[in-house]
Amino acid sequence: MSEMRQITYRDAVREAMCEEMRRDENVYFMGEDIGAYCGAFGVSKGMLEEFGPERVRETPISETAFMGAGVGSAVTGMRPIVELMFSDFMAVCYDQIINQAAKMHFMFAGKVNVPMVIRTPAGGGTGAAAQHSQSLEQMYLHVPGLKVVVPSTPYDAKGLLKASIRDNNPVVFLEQKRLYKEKGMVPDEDYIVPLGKADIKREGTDVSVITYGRMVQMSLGVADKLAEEGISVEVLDLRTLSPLDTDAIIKTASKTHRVVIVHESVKFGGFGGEIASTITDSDAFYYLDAPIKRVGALYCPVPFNPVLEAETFPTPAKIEAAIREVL
Amino acid sequence: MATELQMPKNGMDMEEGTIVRWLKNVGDPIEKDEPFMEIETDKITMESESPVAGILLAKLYEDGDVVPVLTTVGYVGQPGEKVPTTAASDAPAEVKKEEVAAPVAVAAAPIKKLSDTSGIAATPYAKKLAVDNNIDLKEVTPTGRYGEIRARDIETALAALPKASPLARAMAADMGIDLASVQGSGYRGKVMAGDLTPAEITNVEAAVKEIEEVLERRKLSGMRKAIMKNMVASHTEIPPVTQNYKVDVTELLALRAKINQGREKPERVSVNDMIIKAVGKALEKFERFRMTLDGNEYVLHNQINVGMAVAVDDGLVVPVIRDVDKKSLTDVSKAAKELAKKARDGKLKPNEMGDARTTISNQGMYGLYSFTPIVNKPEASIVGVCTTEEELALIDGEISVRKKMMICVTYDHRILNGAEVCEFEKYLKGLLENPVSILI
Repeated sequence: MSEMRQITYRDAVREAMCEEMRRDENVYFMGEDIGAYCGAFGVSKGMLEEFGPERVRETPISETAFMGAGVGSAVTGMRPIVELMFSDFMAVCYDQIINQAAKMHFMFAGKVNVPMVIRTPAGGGTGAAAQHSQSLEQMYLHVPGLKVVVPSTPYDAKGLLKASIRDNNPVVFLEQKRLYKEKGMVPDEDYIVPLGKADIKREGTDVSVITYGRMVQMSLGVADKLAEEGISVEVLDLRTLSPLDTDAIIKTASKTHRVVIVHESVKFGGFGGEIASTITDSDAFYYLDAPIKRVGALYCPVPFNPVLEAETFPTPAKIEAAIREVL
Repeated sequence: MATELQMPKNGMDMEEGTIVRWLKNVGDPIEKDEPFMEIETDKITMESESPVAGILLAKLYEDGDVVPVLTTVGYVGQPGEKVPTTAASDAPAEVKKEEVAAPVAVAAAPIKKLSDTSGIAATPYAKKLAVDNNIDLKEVTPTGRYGEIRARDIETALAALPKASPLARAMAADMGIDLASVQGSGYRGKVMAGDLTPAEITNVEAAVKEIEEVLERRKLSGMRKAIMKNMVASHTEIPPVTQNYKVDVTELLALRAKINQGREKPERVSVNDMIIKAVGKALEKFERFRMTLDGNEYVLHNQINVGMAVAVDDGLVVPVIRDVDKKSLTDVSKAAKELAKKARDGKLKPNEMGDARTTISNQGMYGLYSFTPIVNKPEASIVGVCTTEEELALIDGEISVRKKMMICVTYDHRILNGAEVCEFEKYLKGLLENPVSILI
């Protein structure tokens, strides 16, 4: 066993980038205020000093321009990591991601690859209002050609980011801004967490909570509380939403017979519907002993007022209520 | 329009209140500001007053219920006025100071019982359990929050039933037998499939009695009863599969003619004798065909004994030729003839039956093309032999007449698998098609 040490989610992201940049000279990093300012959340602290302005490239405030530059450099053999300061800003450069990055490999008969990672902080709970608090994974998930990753722990963040950088496809890597300061154990040695593999974060027998990102930690807290009453909750962390580990979803649903899906993004039209259909389209349907429940954000722009904001998102109480409903 | 009566929110941190008691019955008149219920918060007990005058139209909660604040608990209105059909409305979103510091209780969604009671509502898993265990959903009491049958309800129903294996339960349902009337032989009186057999036979006898024109009524012979028991046991306990191979026996018949040249009739070897010898060789090579089942264990037997089904008056016996591998073809032939004669004369001794590794059921004399023999427990397989027929065949491009015969092997799929049975049959076919190999 290698040594383990405790680091934050933010440090895990930086370590993954630095290690890959040291390993492969084609990997470089680009985004707004990522150099001297170290990024809006301080993720890239020290990177400019180590790698210099050639490989840690500050960009103008023009997402379409630098996202397009990322795609262009990727098809010529570089492996860019492009940071979008807030995932909400993808709306500005949607064409570059959806119509260029995701399509080129297929439209050019497989002659080019787009080995590019779009790193971006997602989610709310920071009082940053409607344009800086969204969870828009569903907008990427509906586009074949993109991989979508949402890590919930420092261990997964580091391992999944390294796997994403080494992947030859465009990967949208949705970091959880509320988790940046959370700590967790990470090994010293080089490791990756393969894309497309879900992880059971807690074993249980009575009900499965299928979730990802920040909601994993919240669901684990609810599971701890319910365990005191003898209710055994299994928490499945999807980690990668595309490609999706459907086997793990079907397996846990068949095992516990009851499913609650939790995501921070808006419940209406959200990814929970796809997860629920994955279950009901499979043999797991016959093992369901209750309707599948979804917990997601309310269908409204995220309010600036922090009290109202908190109410729009899933809370431990809402998750608990949904679990009790299916028991 | 009827006016809602709500659980009041008395203070910022009040989340729910208990209805200590209603002060009015449905139909009672209420004045504006008149108390209609007594409530209790975690701090105080107080009365709640009606915002309007009218009569109490409905109570949505009972005395003692704990209700989230601002939830509708009843309606006030004019006599005969309709109450909204949706029951208690959601408590409005609760406002709170900080998500982490003060999580609010989330009011459980109001429970709407399923309105359509014509069908049976059950969860998919409950339905699956019901089918697997042969439980009639109509007999199950639902405990689901919407009035649906849940898996736990099937488990409750199962626990209340007489203990029986799923197979016994399914058989009993088919045969119209009340499980409670059957003496179970399993653990703690659990009714097993085998326990139902006598009941089935009794039913058949009862049915026969109802037919008026009975020509004759005869007691079952001991042998018939034993056959019945063995066949039912084989049929209910053994998952059988039959695999057929066509064998070219032209060479075998030629060799037999050569062997029998100059032999007196009693000394002549039959095709059956040669098949017995060949089956013995195959059993020697394929040791898994010498296995039997004993509880949770396979038992591997060493002795190469081959059973031989002999039809007798109103029955069938299976004498056994022991140590076929150690006997010459002539010895096998001699033993088979002796045993067949004893069988027909009813003079078989107990030690001349049983302990066979497999049985040969030769129906060749009846013009049979193919059949599915039934495994003679506890053997793992049975070899059916059919009639030899002439067929046109192409050999090296030349048309020739060949003699072909089907062998039909039924096996116990708990012990043997299809692929290995194919290997066994191919080997047996090889021996029969190259019959000198039987002799050496």
